[in-house]
Amino acid sequence: MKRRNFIWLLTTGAAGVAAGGYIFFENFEVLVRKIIIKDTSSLSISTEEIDKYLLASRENKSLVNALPFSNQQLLKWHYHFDNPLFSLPYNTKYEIDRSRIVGNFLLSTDFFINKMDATTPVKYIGIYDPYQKPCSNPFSNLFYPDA
Amino acid sequence: MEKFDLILVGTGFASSFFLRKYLEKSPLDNRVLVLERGIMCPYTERLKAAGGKQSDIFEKRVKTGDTFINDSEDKVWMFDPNFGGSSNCWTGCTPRFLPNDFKIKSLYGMGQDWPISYDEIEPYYTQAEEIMMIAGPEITPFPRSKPYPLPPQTLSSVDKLLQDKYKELYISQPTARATVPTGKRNACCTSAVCGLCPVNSKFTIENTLDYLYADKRVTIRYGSQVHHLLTENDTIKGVAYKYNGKDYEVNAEIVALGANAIFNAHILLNSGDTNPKTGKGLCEQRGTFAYLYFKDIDNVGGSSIITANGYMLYDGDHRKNEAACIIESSNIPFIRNEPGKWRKIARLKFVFEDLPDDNNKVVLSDNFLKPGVQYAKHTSYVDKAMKNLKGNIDKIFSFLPVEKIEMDGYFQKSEYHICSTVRMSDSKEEGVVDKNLIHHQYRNLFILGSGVYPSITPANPTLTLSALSLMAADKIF
Repeated sequence: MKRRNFIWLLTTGAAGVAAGGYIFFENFEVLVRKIIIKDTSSLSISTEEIDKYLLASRENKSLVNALPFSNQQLLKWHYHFDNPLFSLPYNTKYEIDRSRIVGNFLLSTDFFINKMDATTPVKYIGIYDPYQKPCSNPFSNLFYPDA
Repeated sequence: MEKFDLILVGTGFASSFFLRKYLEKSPLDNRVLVLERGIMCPYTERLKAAGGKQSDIFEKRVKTGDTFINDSEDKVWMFDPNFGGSSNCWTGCTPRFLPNDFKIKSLYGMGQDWPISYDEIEPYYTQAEEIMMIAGPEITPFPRSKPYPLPPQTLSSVDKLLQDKYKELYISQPTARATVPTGKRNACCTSAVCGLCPVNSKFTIENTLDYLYADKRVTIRYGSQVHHLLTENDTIKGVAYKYNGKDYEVNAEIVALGANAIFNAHILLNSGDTNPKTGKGLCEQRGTFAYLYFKDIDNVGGSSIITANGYMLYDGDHRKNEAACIIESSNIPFIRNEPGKWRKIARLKFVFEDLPDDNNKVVLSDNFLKPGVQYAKHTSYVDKAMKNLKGNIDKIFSFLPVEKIEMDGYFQKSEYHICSTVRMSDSKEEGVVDKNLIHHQYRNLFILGSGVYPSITPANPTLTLSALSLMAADKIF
């Protein structure tokens, strides 16, 4: 093997290991923050509201408890590698988990209670927990009596 | 040695509905001993634990995973081995079986017919529904002699379109989640965590039938695990149980096993039951999810966690080749992660019946207090239905403005329904108990619960097993 090829392989391998290590050990909460900011960018939400949610989630471990380690890894790898032309396997599972993350956040705001109005500023109102606040499913007949 | 008129093992649906009818019909001086292996963990303590607070009582409850040895990592068996049994963790879905479910061998050449017909069990369905105060619709795919006690849960906007199209094949799910306050129960308000209802809307043994265990004729002993029966020729003389590490024996005229399909079979095996079918045939439904993404329908306005049942893939000649399927429309607060289309989505569960297979079974283990559970796989009957599911979904929902359909493609690890380990039959060659749930050999022994199902249907089993308990006690006492 030529010296140039060897260096190229070594550099590529080292970069791959570093990137893999970064993704594997990436703080899950940091990833969740990125996902929420990106996926709710069309709404009127300040990062302060997102950070209030993340703080409360950290305190009661609701983010970590919501998704097992394997799901967290799936999210991380998909988030960093998927693009319009390529997606890693188990994309459906990834999309569902990603929806769950954004859904849990939005359920903890007044967005759904305000009937998904994208123009009204969204406020954090407390972690969504039916045991703390029963009857709060915002899609139920209590909120849509005439549906 | 102590002697009772009746010893009842367990306090779940099967036992409690049997006890209710027994007490209704038996003399005031009869004596009943109820042996419950778990503890009384009240609703309030469960709620405390669910809310993240410390509950010492909750911590002391018998844990499901400690009670049996599971040979399969891929298959989970869910139940609650404490007072009230799985009424503490069920979702409260109470569809009846269809008349044809009782004769799938005659009609479709599959599985085994029941030794009873729909017409025979119908009056007891009605009684069980009145006891549980079931909420249900006026029109159903199964015949009814009386209307449901409570008004139905409300359909969502998507459900309404499906009902318009499929009429009696798509109905508001009959449910033990009350639509109006009744007894000690409040009205369901769609909190969608029904395993433990935050507003105590769902029927449980504790919130409705607890009075049975306070009856003067009844003695209840907690922490008492029955491990075998005392037999003499073809008669049961009593039971042996462990309490606080010590062994006890007690006699009775009649014994009724109402633990669950795993433990009832295990107690029989521990007792030397020689029926070749005892323990064999363990099965439950297999369920999988699919998501429909809509162009322009918001899926809102439904009440309760599961708003509707679809019967479009349930009964018919397809059952000659593939499993029947019931559809459940979910109403948990799921979303679609696309701005402007947040709730333009439906989450549907497709639940398939399976056929009891003797290779799936409850067996004895090295520990005589713990059954072994050996589950190889569901039958190909399920796989055939799963294979055709995508095509069937395309066909059934094509009239809706569907953008795309996504399917899980795998089965849930548990449907929380354990069935068919002590099957009901006309003869002892085909099963363990007769049509009155009495053991073919031991004529003073009742075996209660879904373990007696000769075939399991795709529908939730609780209402039917409760009705069977009422019927057995009514016919014999």
